[in-house]
Amino acid sequence: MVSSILSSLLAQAGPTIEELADQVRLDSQILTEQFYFYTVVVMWLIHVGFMAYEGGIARRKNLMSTAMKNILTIAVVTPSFYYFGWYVYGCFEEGWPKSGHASPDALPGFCGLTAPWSAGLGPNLQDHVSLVFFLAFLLFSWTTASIMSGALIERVRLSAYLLLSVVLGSFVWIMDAAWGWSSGGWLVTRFGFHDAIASLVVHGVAGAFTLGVLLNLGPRIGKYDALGRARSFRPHNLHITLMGLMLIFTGFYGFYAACLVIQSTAFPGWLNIYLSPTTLGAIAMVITFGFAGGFTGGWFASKGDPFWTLSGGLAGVISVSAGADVYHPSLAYLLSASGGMLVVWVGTWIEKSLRIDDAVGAVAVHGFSGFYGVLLVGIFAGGYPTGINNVPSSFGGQLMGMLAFLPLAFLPGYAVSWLLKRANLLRVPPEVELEGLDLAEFQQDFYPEFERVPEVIVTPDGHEVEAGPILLEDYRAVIRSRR
Amino acid sequence: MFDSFPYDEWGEDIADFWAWGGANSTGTYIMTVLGIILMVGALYGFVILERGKLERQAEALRGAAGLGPAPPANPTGSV
Repeated sequence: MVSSILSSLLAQAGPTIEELADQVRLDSQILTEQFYFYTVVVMWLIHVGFMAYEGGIARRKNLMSTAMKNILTIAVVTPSFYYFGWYVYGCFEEGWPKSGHASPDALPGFCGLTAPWSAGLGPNLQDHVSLVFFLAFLLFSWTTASIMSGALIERVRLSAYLLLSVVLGSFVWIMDAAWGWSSGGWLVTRFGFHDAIASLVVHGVAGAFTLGVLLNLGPRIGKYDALGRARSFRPHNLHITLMGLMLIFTGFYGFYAACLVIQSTAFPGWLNIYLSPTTLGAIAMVITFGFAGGFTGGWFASKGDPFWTLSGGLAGVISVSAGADVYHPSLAYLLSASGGMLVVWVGTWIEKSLRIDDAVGAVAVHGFSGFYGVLLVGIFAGGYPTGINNVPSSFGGQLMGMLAFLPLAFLPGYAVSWLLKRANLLRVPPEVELEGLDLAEFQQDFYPEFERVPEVIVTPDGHEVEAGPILLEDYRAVIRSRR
Repeated sequence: MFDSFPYDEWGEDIADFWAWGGANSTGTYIMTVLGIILMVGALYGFVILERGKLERQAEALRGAAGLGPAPPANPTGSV
């Protein structure tokens, strides 16, 4: 009798198993929500870093116009990714037109949650995950556009860059992410394409798009002399540039973490973007050893050049990102060292042999290293069962992804910049470029207490003459000769 | 679930409430279209305003053959 009363009271006082299960499920969702929220916060540092990096690299006459590009990237990519980009990711996994090779079980109903008017993209008490997941991808989109930003500085129009960043950040990269960086992407489900932390889908694609733009944009005036020899424009604030790079590196930890999936009541543990198991510790080790190897490779290949040493670190990380969920730290160290070395030679070749003026080495650091990274997976992680269909990753599958993404990225970059060039909307007038973009864009000099010293050229007889008029006339002569 | 305050009851009251309508509603469609119009208009504005600034500055430099900011746009905003 007493025991039945006690059990009755206990039953009334305590929660049932179902209630506890509901509470655990809710807690799990809220932890997931918090996790992605803080990755977004950390990833903001990437953009602080890009702004500092590029602002420092620019000459003092172009400081604010350079920084404004990074700031307004957020203003244009955010709405365009919300209205169009996320829908592309959710609904184009099978390719366009549909290849019919995606698994119907990948993420059921996801496409319907990616339209801007859907329940997944507004306030919804029943959904703690969709919005923070969207935000993580939005930060990837900013990053993709910002990779292009630095390469174009000091001569591209702000508005042209913004239009290009919308195409790259809200269409091109997210289309390739739908194909090769989602559990239901046709490259994944059919070919086992494996690019866990976005070597190619973010970095490589942004680099290839940038290359297409640079071909139409042309070099900065004075970058190459009459014999085609490259001239180095020195950063106006190297300290800020180095700090910017370190901030980018810090933000990369948030980027890496945001590339994983976690929800304890739905999955047994950490998953990569293809919903294959991994751990947060594994990828954190790879990124850290990637920096170590990359710095080392960059330092030795460039014989201690500070720019290429730091860029080598970035290239090293990008080289091992594709396989960061499966690589041993020692393998990551070795591969990233090779990536850090190769990027120095590729970057120098692009600048001096191809005569493409990439102000920050983005095509080499992000483009080359991104493609190199997915190739390495085919060699060193071949056979790994990728994605929900467990298709083995392979050299051929990785090549298939590279062949799909190279034109997907390069052609839109080339085509849109060609159209802007035809409309005379791509590049600033040469007089403005020589004087500096800040005076034209903002009507002020942002270092008023420092004297503006005109650039000079030393003539063969030893006299210093102002470079502007000579460079302007030379530029006009080149334009006339092309007509 | 909670016995300290009627959270479930409040939650039911506000669960379906979105400012200007719920998911897949007319209000949300209208807000989406207005947002897209603002986005496209802003992109167009970036192009036009910058073109005016650059052309003014380039003209001033060609005319004066020197450095310095161009005069600001006239109050009507035309370029």
